[in-house]
Amino acid sequence: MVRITWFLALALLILSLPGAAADAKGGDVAIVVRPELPVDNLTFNEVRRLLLGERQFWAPGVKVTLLMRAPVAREREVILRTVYRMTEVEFRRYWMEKVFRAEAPGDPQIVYSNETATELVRALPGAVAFVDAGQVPKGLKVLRIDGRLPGDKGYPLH
Amino acid sequence: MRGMFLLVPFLVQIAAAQQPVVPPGSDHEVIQQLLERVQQLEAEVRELKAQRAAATSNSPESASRPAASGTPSADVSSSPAPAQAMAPMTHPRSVDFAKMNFRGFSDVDFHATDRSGDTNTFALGQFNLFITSRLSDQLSFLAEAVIEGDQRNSVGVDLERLLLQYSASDYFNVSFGRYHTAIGWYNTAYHHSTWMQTAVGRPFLFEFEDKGGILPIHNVGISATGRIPSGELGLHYIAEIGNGRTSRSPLDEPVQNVMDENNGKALNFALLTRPTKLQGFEAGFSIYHDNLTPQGLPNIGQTIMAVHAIYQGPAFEWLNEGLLIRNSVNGTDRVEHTPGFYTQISHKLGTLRPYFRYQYVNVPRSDLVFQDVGLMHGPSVGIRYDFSEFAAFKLQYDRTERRNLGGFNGITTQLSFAF
Repeated sequence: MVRITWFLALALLILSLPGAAADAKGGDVAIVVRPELPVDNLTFNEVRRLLLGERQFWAPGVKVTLLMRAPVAREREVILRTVYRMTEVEFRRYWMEKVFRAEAPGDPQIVYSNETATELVRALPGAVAFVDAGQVPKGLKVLRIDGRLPGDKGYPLH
Repeated sequence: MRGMFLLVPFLVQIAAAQQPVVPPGSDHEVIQQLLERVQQLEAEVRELKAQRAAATSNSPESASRPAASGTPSADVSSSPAPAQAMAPMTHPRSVDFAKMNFRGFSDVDFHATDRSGDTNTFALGQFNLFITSRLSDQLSFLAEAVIEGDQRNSVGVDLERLLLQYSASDYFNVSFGRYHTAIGWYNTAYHHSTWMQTAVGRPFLFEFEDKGGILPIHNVGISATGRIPSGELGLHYIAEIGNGRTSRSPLDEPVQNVMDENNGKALNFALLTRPTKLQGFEAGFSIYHDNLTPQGLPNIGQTIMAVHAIYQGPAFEWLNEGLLIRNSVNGTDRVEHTPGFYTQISHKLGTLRPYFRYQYVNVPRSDLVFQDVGLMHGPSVGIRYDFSEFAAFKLQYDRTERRNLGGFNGITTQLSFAF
């Protein structure tokens, strides 16, 4: 009986994790950074340049670290479709070529959950993650795109 | 314990609910990703259990224990740290520092030609090991080591690139070591990977020095690159200073790796644009200057001017480059000009990419540096078949015309791959 209670409690706890429901319904994808980062708003073209690795610094000395969800995650699919406009294969090849041409020191970092992504954003100055808007924890900043936040009409990452 | 067995299918179900359905045809890698995600969720459950146990414990020791602190693991696929560890840190450890990453490229070819003196032959291409490592947020390293056979079938190793790079900002990056000279576009786009190239090989103009190329493809020195504030125009600059190419004797190693034969240094400057609104397009020019000191001949001032306009979309590709090599004999008014260009067009149709290239180079007979090259021009047609994400088969026909030597035909097949 104790074991069943423990199991049910654990199940409820997991289901209450923000990701479980949010991923399933497929909300907007938020661009998440540390609050002290001196950026609040990006144009869509700036988002594109950021993700293409053409902008690699937020400010002198503050390097951009891209945190991308692993393949099959919805957030990754949204970013590839709306910003990169590439397939998974094209995306991998793009970064392989970029690193080979010495235009970037490495690929975007792969993270396997939104929780890990936001945790790393807290830990690394300059890290930027692309996570479901319903899973952004308190204490992090969500960047506007052309003045729009996730949930606003016309927000492009969904 | 039995509860844990019950948890596994439950966690798999949760993982499946969080992800879209795996598309048909997904490969082993996707399954691996899903398994890793399951493992991560299991790790999260362990964390939650630990927190639950801590919360239910009333021991004074646990109540007075300070919150955990430290840096999250550098391995982003490892289990996340507890919530208490999420406080901002003064000196966080970033990811992947000082970890060496390998990438490789190679190819196997068959070449048949009716050129006098040549034979039909199988050939090993270059075995290219590309190594990168991030040393800090601003410091990184890369090397490209190539193992290849020569015309006498002996195999040797060449360190084609070796660079320590420092990135101060988007506007200033500096690299020290051996690099590919930023003359035109092709030389710094494909380096020593045949798999990345649409065609079987490089255009005449950008052939490597040890394959008879006329350009200083490699250089040892310092290279600075960066963006120029220009909005959506996307201007970039490249400035290089290096030893330049060997000129004393054609028998010497063409790249001056450890000893320059003169005190003069080769300078190169390039300016290019990558407009934000036209992804895949790049145009630019470069100007290179060096002072050559061939043995028994007067010094030669060499200036190489290059322009390019290329477009590489997901399907359509059009590459255009032209250059002019100006060799002027110091102390005289003798000047020789070598013009050259190529254009290459291709379009991807599924896994097939047919392509066409026309190339031209004309070295004057009176040129003091490359008299044996002469005039070469002609078309190439081919098709590339990507039978795997990282492997391609290419078939190419070349027709090459030469001044006073007659033309010749060649067919090359190539299996190129990345690993």
